[in-house]
Amino acid sequence: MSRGGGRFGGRGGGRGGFAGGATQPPMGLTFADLQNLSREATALYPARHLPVFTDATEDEGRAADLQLGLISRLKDSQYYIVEKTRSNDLPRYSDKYRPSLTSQPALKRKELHAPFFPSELLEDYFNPKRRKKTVSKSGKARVNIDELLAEDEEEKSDDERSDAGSQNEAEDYDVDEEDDNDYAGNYFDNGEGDNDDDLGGGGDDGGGGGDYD
Amino acid sequence: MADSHTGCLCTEIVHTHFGPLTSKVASALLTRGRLPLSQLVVFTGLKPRTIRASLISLIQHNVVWHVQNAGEPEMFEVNVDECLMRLRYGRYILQAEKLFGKPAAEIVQVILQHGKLVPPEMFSLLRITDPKTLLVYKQALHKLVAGSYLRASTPKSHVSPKDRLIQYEIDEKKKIVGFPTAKQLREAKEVAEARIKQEDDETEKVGLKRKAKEQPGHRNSKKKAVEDETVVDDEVYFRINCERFNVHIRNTLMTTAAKERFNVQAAVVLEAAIRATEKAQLNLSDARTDPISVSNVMMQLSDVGELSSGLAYPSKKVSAGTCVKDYLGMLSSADNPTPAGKAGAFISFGSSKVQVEFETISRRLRRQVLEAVTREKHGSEGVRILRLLLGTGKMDEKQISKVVLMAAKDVRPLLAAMAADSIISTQEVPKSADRNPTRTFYLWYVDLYKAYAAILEDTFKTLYNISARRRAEREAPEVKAVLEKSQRTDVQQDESLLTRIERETLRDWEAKEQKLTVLESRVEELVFILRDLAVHGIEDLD
Repeated sequence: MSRGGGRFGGRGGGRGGFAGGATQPPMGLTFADLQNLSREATALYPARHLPVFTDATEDEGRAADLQLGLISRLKDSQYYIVEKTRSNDLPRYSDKYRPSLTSQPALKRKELHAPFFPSELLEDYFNPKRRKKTVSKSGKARVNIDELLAEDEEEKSDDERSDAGSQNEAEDYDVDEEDDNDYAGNYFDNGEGDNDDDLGGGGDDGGGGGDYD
Repeated sequence: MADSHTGCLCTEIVHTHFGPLTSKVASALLTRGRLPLSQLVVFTGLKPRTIRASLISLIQHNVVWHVQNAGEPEMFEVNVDECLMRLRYGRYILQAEKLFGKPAAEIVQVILQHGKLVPPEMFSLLRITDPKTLLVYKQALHKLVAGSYLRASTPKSHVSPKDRLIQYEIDEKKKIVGFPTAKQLREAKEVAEARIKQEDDETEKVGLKRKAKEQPGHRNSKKKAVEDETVVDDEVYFRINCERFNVHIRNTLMTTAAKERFNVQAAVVLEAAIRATEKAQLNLSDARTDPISVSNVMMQLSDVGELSSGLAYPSKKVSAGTCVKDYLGMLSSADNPTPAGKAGAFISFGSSKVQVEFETISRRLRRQVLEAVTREKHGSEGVRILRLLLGTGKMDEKQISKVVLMAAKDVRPLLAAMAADSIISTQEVPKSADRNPTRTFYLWYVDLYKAYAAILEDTFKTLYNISARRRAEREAPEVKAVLEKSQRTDVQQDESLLTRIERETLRDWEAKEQKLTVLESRVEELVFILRDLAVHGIEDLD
């Protein structure tokens, strides 16, 4: 503690002080004080007076019981989210008495009031295999430009990017392949035509020149 | 988004109430702010289906806001205040029981369990089939709604208030033609805020609707007709209005403070004064109650005979009125009309009207917390220095040691230790143009904002530790085995299947759990004083 006190104001003051010559250490310390500072380390766990826990009053006890009751009921309710994992343990006799993993209730759609939730969230949770409708996304400036060209696959590919693990990946994949984007066929030049001896024409010009059509 | 300690605490609360998977979602939202679903998948590493379930669960319990603005996907954000209120749910249920009886407590309990409910669902979850009990519960529900203990939940209340404000401001700014001036921008902001306030006021009125008049003829008395006209709307989703319950917690705190300052009877008088205007106290932001007359206070007192035992009178018989007036004089520091006396008063008693001064009492309670923390950490000398600096503003170290009557070598380490705890801070006053530390004055003062914020942070850490300790105790091997065994269906029907040792372990564990929860609620009261009662502002009036 006292070491902390001595060092507190000495941020550069010590050096400046000695250079100036006229000087005292800052904050009213004297050199004698600094010498007298204890150089022993303070204890790692100094003795402490710990406060004693007074017994709960009746009201406090009741409130605590109500809170714990609420928590335990929540644990068994549909709002406590668990993932069903398959365990490889051998089946046992006591399994029929132990609460199995499937005994946790699930969220039910009719208990949730739809206007309070984002519609996509509810739909995706309760109908995981629904067909993704191509909802037009307004607001993205890029979409407006591409709107004239290939509107559908832009939105579908956005959809599949934003929903990781979307089940529709399989069926949308074909559509992506056959889009009639001008660049699809000839954007990537893998250097196959580079070994041609003739400089001007050749394969890569055909690929690059296609841009300037 | 919340600072790290609040975030850790909220994650822990969500873990206890909603499970470890949901707590991962909450933790991502708290550390990184608003996020869309796609980024949640990246940051939590959970399956999208689990994340969706967690979000649905949290939205249902009003812990998460969601909004969809143009140009961005659906964004989710954690409502930190609502999360912290979850620690007080036990007290809310107890309060409802004290005010309106067991049916009301059960209604509050079932609503807290499900987040929000419509009345028919409430009654079906409580398994009420008998029409007589149904009527009792309906009356309890009506009292709760009429007293603003329950409020309606609308789709708008699921959007964060900041998002709504931004959206309305954008709407207002669109209406500005041409280049906006500073004045127009300010007006746009004010209109947006007024719109939000108006919508909030409207939501408060939702919930009670006028009953269709069944007998157009024949009215017995006008008074009866007015009372029976409102009935709880069965289509509205109701949730708990935490503010209203917080008012009761505040009132209890203040009567306890009066009891500690004076005596039990003075606390009874203060309680009566508060109860007289209880219906009008809807939230914590009132600085004082409406004026109450002395006769009103006396009406609320049930047992006036007891009061005279709290005061010493020269003559034996004093009327109840004089007694009450004497208590009110004591509570209002009538014998000390200086500013110091006013700061120590509980009520203001002028021209036979009483007003309970919530702001003054809150300030005093906070100050007591600060002094108590300083006393525990730095002893009574630390408190001496603290009181001096609170009273006189900024002081140099030499002056402090003179006024506080301690040697400089004792004062110096104390000042450094208290500054390390953020209770006091320095103000540098340089003597020369370069900030040479040997040639600057260091004035010490108490920065109240910083001090209270540091104590609040420590309190959040403590709450987190208590909850983590409870979890760790539950997962100790012996306790865990016994708890799992007690979850078995055959054991739940027949307690004797547990051995004696197992029963003892279970009892010990339940006692420990209760102690930790009681401790949690006591520490949570500190949070209440520092955070919720600070709504009037922190600085002292000098």
